[in-house]
Order: sequence, then C-alpha cells, then structure tokens
Amino acid sequence: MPPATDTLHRPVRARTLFAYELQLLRGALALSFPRPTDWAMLLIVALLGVAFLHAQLLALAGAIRQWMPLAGLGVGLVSGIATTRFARRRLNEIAETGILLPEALDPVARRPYLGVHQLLALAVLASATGDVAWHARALPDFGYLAASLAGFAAGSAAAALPDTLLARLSAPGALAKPRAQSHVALDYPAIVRQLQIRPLRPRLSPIGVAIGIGLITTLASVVAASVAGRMAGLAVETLLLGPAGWLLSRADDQLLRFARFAGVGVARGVGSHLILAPIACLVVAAGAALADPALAIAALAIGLIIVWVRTLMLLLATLHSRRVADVRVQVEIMVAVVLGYFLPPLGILVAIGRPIQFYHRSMQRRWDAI
Amino acid sequence: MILAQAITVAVRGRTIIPALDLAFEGPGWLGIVGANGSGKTTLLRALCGRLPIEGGSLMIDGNDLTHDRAARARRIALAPEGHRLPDSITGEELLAIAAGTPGWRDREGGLDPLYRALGLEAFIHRPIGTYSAGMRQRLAIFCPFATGASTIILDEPFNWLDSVAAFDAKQALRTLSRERHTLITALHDLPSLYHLCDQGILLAGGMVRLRLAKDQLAASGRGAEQFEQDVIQHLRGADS
Repeated sequence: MPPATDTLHRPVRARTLFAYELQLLRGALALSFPRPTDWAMLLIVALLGVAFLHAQLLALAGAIRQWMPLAGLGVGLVSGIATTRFARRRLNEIAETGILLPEALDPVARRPYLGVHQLLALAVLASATGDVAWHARALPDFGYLAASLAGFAAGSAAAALPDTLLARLSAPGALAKPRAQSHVALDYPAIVRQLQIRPLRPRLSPIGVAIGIGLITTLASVVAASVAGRMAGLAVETLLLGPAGWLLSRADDQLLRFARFAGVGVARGVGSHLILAPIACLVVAAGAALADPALAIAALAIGLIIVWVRTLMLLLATLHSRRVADVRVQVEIMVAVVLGYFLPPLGILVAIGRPIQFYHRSMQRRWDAI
Repeated sequence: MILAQAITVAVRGRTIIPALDLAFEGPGWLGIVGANGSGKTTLLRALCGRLPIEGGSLMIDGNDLTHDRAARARRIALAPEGHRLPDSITGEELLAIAAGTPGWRDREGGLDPLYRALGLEAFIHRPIGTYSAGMRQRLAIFCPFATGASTIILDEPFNWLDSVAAFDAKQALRTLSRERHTLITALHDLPSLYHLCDQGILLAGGMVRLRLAKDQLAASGRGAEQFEQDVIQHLRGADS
C-alpha cells in the first residue's frame, strides 16, 4: 500500500483550476444542449448574433466618434471591474465548495487564474474597440485603445481594492476573509425563520433608496438633456439607471431556489426580489415625462429589460444548478436579441413566452430536486 | 501532529471559537461531538484553511500554520459538502480533478476497500446531478482520500447514508485510520465515537468541555448507556 503523504499528490497550480472550470463548462453545455439540433440552433444564433453586433458597430461608431477616448475609458473601467470581481468571486465559490480549496487559496494558483481572466477580457475589449475604431475611421489614432487599457487597469485595481484592504486589516499573512454574500453556505434555519416571520418583503428603507435613485436620475438626465440635447439626457439616464436598477434587483438565486422548495410560490419569490428596480424606473419615467417623453420611454425600457433578465435568472436558478443556469440565461438573452433583430414579432413572443414556460416548469419541480 | 493552542475563530465578525486547545497525533481517528451550533464545523473549517484563525497558534507537524490558510489546505483535505458538488460532471471526473490524474486508482490501490465500501462503482460514471443525497455523500467522503493527503476532515460523514452503507463506510474508514490516515470528524452518534475513534472531544460554546482518551472511549463502549448519560449531562451543563 503506498503511503499517504503530508501534502496532496497533485501539484497546487492554476492549471488544475482551469481544468476544473473547463470540465464544469463542458458538462454544463452538455446538460443544457443535449441534442445535436440544440447545437445547430446555438451555432446559427451565435453567427447571427455576431453579425448583428458587427452591423451595429457602424451606427455606434458614427455616433460616438468624438467621444471615443471617453467611451473607451468607461467601457474599459466597467470591463475591468466586472472581470476582476467575477474571477475573485469564482475563486471564493471554489474555496467554499472545498474540492480545490488549496488552489483557491494559494497565490501561486490564484494569480495566474485572475491574470488569464483579465487577459481574455482584455482581448475581447481590444477587438471590440478596434472594430469600432475601424468603422469610425479613427485608426491610426490609438488614443481610444490607450484609454480602454487605462480604464481596464483602473477597473481591475479598483475591484481588487476592497479585498486588499481587508487582507491588510486581518492578521499578517492571512488572506482576505470570504465575503458574507450570497455565495457563502446558506444558513437554512435563519432562512426558514426569515420566511416565517418576514416572508421576503422588502423593507421601507430600500424603497426609499429606489425612489431617491429615481429622483436623482430624473434630475440629472433632464438637466443633461436641456444643456446638451436629448442624446446626452438619454446617455446620462442609461448610465445612472441601468447599473443602479441592476444593483437594486440583485437577488440571492440560491435563497429563491431554497424558498421554492420550502413552499414559497415562485411568483411571490420572484416578485419580492424584483420590486425595487421597477420603482426606480417608474419614478424616472413619471418625472422625465414632464420634460421629454423619450426619456420616460427609455426609463420604462430599462426597467423592462432589467426585470426580464432578472426573472429569467431567478426562474432558471430554480430549475438548474448555478452553472447551468448561468449558461442558459446568456443563451436565452442572445436568442431573444437576435430574433428580435431579424424577426421582431417572434423575438417579442419568445421574450414573453420563455419566462412563462420556465415558470410552469419551476412549479412542477418537486422538493427533492434541491 | 496537530497542536492548537488557544485558537480563536470568528465567522462574519462573530467569535464562534474563543480559545480552543487541541492536540492529536495520527494516524488515528479524532471524533468531535457537540450540540448544533457548538462550533464543530467552524473548528473543522479553520483547521483545513477554509476559515482564517484570528488568534492563538496552530502547529501542524511542527510548522506554525496559524496564518497560512493555503498551507493548511495543502496538508489537510476537507470533504466537500454533498449538496455543493457540481452537478454537471461525473463522479469519476471529479475524483480525477481531486487526485490530479485520471489514473488515480492505480496509484491509490490502498483506497480500494473504501471505494468498494462506498459502492462508488455503481454510479461514478453518471453526472453528479443525477445522484441521490446518499450517493452525493458517499462521493464526498471519498474525495479527500483521492487527493493523497494523510489528514482528512469529514463533517458528519454518515448523514444521508443508509444503514448498510454507513456500516461498511465506518469499517473501511476505521481500517484506514489504523494504517496510515489521520481522520478528524464531527459526529452526532455516540456509538461511532466510542467504537471508532482513538480520541474524542466534546465541544460546547466553542470550548472543549470534555476530552476522552482511547482507554476512556473503550470503557465507554462497555457501558454505553452510562456513557451516553454522562455526555448528555455534560452538554446540558454546558448549555446552562
């Protein structure tokens, strides 16, 4: 019998994390698209999607030519924050699952894992901004690219900052504490207590926050529209209301999944998670309608999109594991957008029909599916 | 050798373990019993690096790893929670990831009795999403052994297992702990403690209320009813 060792047989390195992630992705794709016809449909939708996005670049490039460095900075910043936070959150999840705990904790594996995520995001960002610049006839002026890269670097650093600060505050040599967020192991007794005593009702203060965000967005977008024109007003409204609405509708999909199997109705669970973002959008729509109806329509559209995407995410979370649900959500969005572009009536039908379909499927799931 | 001196562990700002002392030399089986919320899981997670240790010192084989979570995780393998295993891959793929090679069975021939006792062959080639809770638990028990680590943490390993699977798993684990592995497990049933373990501790409020050496555990097995009464009395005393 070979002796057990003081440490693991496998070397602790980033390659193990990547192999694990690829296995999970491959498995999730196989479960999500089990038939060859599913793959054919996916391929067609992907090709149409790329063609659609590419076609949009012409119009986009013309509209933002003068603002390209600023737009590059903004897009780079958001991409940097999103990529870094995604990769760090994923490492926390892997640590909590426990199978690759050493790799998720060890800087030797963590750094390349984060680096590869950032490189991939950077490649996508560079190709997208390059494509826009090509259409805007902005080449060979590389100011926009430099701005995108600077934005990405700043975003990555900003996303890493909270954990770095935490690590410094904790004991020397210790890594940052895991965040007490939705990804930590669920405290089921506490959840059940919450469900029994205060069943998923939003508190008054978040509603106040939603109304406050709505009022600030209304004021900012109306002022921007009156000073620099309707497009500026729409841009300000989208930049403020989009991220704020997204944050307001943040939901613990695993809590909903548990609540679903604990007897809380799907509609009630989804509704209680999604009440705040529409409130903010309605406040903006009501306020902006007095100044410019286009701003009001845009606010309603933002609200609808947020509610639609979040509803898909929550419903799919009650049907699938987190990984499969994430893949499915992205595919559903892509299908609806592409169909909406090429065959608008069908796109609308799919956008309305799919959540209803998922709702019925969720209602049929039994408790043991948890 | 695991030597913890006055270690403090907090979860989300709340101190769960205020100052705990522990000493255990493997191979062997250390059983931890205690009421719900007594700090068993927190202690196990801190030992294997999943939680940081805020104070005190933790020496493993003579190395101070109090503030090095990654080093603790490399030395002590933790069994994942069954319900958190990834649905989309097969048990076989998961074990290959944990072991670092698809050919882990050739290398880890000594694990065959445990593999057979857990009945993994019957379902290991299927996606984990199709497993029952018991099957997940069996795979979760085996995972840390596939890593090759000699010190293994199992948190209430016999939950969800049917009587036959639990019996077979206990026997196989007992053999491994006698030969080459150090097992640290949280347990809820007292018979497992006195039949299987070489040392036991009783936790309450994050503190060790009672330490039981091997001979005491053996004696407890002979007077099982009295032992159960004593332990319950300790737990009630700790609560009050």
